[in-house]
Amino acid sequence: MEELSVMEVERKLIGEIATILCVDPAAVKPDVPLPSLGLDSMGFVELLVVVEKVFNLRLMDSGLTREDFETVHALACRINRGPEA
Amino acid sequence: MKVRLPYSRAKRYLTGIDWTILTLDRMSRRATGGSNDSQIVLELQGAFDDRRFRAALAEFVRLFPVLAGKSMRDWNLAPYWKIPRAGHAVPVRVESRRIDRQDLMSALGEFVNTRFSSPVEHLAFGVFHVDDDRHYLAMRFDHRLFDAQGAEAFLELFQRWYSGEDCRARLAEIALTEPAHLNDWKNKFEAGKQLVRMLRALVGTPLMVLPRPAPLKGRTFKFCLMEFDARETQAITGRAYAEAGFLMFMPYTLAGAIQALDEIFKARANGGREYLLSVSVDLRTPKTAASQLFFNHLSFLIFRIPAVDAGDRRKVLEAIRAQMYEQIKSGFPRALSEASMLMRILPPALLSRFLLKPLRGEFASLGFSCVGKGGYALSQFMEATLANLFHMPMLPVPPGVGLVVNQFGNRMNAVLTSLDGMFSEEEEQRIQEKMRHLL
Repeated sequence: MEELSVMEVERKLIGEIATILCVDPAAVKPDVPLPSLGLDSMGFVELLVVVEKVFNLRLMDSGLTREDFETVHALACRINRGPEA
Repeated sequence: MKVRLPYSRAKRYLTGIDWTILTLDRMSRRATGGSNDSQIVLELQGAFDDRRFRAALAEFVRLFPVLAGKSMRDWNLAPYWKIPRAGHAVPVRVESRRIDRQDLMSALGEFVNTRFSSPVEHLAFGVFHVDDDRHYLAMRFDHRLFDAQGAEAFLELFQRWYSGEDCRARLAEIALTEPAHLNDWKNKFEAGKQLVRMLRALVGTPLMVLPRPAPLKGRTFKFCLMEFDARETQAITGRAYAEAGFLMFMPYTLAGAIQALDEIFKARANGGREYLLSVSVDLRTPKTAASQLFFNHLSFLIFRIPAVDAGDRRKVLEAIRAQMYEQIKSGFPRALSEASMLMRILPPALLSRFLLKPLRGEFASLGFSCVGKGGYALSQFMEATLANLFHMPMLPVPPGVGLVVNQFGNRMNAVLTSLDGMFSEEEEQRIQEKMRHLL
């Protein structure tokens, strides 16, 4: 996968989250917590599936820690770090 | 080019999921004589005026003739909900009485177990006054017409309308009609293949099922309410995120439910080796929620947990998470919704046989649902403050047992539903204690 900056990852994620939630991408802000955007367990797993498809990174088996997934920005940083041992 | 057949405003074609819910309703009627109804309960603090509520409700339901409809089959064989013309009378019964707080669950249980008196009655309200400042309002509804989120949204719309808000845009947004979906057959058959593969994988699995009490005819449902206050809910959410992962609230509560019931299942389920859990999931998005108020907009995830692993929290959580991921990745919930369109040709009696055949007359070990936040997002109902909101669904028979978890504001509730006689009072007590301990 080509190297993407955090901002580029963020932009892609915003588009994908907007698709999952059927909302305008402008409504998805990078620093807003994902639950307050309306994501629940099901929507969150849909997002993880999208991350695997788009970024070739399977995060379901990672610890799914709040720090890595709380916001779009945090998730973009986590994706940017790539797979971790 | 896609050809769309014109459809009448008096018909709401039923989707495959609507038809499945109708079939589950018929299955329950055949088994117990009761229907697959549900109930939403609002706990209210402050003054509540019965007469004002009855008057407002009578006026409000007149906006929705769909509430007095019935299911029929069209010339093209697609089933539909016949919507009466505007101005048609909508029968909605309202009962009101005083109760002692300790009789609350039996009063609410009695109310939800009461059958509607006519085929076109699908909604009833019970107002239970504990004292002048505490009341419980129960809305019993026909599951064919509302699912849990839809029922919450209906009550929220009532409150907005009652408080004088201009609801014209909201009312106009509600989708009452639905096309017959007699197109795009390739997709439906592809989805059908996926569903058949899933069902085939279940064949021959000795399921963990609880023996149902006999005789089944005339048997009602019992309900145990477990309330968790804000502090407890925050602690549960914290543990869910730490143990199951961020936002993994549903898998965590499902794991808790399996483990709380495991001891009783193992003592009584003959020869079962695997739990099969049917979990209903809402397919609405924040954008479509306002329009999808009536009928069913849900699908299911199916989880299989080896009984031998049920005592190990880590293994149960891992199995749920992995299966949830794989099912969502393969598009199973939407494929099920699409494939079920093909089943509408089958009359309910035949469809129920088709659904029960792979598991030799069983359906699942346990039904489970985690109703999301936000269906009812206001803090008032009429003039009273809304202190809590929970759901009391009757369940299809089989399995006749299940658990529904919901969050309201910063609180959480879990309601165990079971056929009366399935658990002793001591067992019910133990399940509740275990749930509290495990969550």
